[in-house]
Amino acid sequence: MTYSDGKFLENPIHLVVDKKIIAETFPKESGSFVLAGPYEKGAYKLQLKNFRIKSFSTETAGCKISSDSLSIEIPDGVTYIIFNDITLK
Amino acid sequence: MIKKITLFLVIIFSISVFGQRRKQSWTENVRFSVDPHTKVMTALGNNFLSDSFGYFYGFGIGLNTNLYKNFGLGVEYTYFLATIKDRDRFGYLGAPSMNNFDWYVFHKDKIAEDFFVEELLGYSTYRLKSPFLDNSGTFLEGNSGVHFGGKSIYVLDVEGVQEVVFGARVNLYNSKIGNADPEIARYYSKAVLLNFSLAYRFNF
Repeated sequence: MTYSDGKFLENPIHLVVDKKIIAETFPKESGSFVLAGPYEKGAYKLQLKNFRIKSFSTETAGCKISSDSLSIEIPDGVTYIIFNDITLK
Repeated sequence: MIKKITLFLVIIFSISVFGQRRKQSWTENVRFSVDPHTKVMTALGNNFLSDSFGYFYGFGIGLNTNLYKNFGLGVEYTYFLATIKDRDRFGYLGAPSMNNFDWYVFHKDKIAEDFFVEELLGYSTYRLKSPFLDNSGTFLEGNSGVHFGGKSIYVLDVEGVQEVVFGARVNLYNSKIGNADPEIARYYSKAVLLNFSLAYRFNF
């Protein structure tokens, strides 16, 4: 996670499916984080609070930034994903 | 002719006596016991149980029956509670509770008049339950695995009715949590649990 505002560390990162929070974490100072939770069928979203995403990189195909820029949409059926970098606006 | 009959009677007699003695010793040796217990359990190695939770503390009850010679069967039920150490790898979930049954075969060794040792081998089932933090329901996970361990038994009274039992067990925890990455699937599916128990046993 590349960020410039230190306040980013105070906000939780959520893993969301059908508007339901599955997992929550807070990023480390380095910007890295690990997030895991029980699997429920559906398309997952990696969701930030108050911070908008500019770009990201991953080897998993089909991910995209949501229209409000607050989350990355992960395709249905993906159970494991690494984001090499997520850059904030 | 008379001799033959005598011999026949003697044989019948000895068989019946032998049979009766066997029968008596069989029923005499069947004993039952009940023991309320407390347990403390921890997960060893690199797995989500060990990373996510602190110690599991539990209480429950066990039933044992000494069936034949020094062998017997037992069952223990334990209700565990644990605290969350790190939620990152567990999910948006609250502190878990666990329902655990241990079914086992044991062998008892007499070390002294008031001291016994039991070795045991069996199978366990676990049911881990956690509420979602937004109260949207509960997450349930069912598992099972082989266990083995031992118990030391100290007799408290002359009649041998009351005993204190200290036990240690290794439980293998296996579930089928799937993931695209096999290493992550293993991390969530397999664990080795070590638990210690203290029980107060009544024999009847």
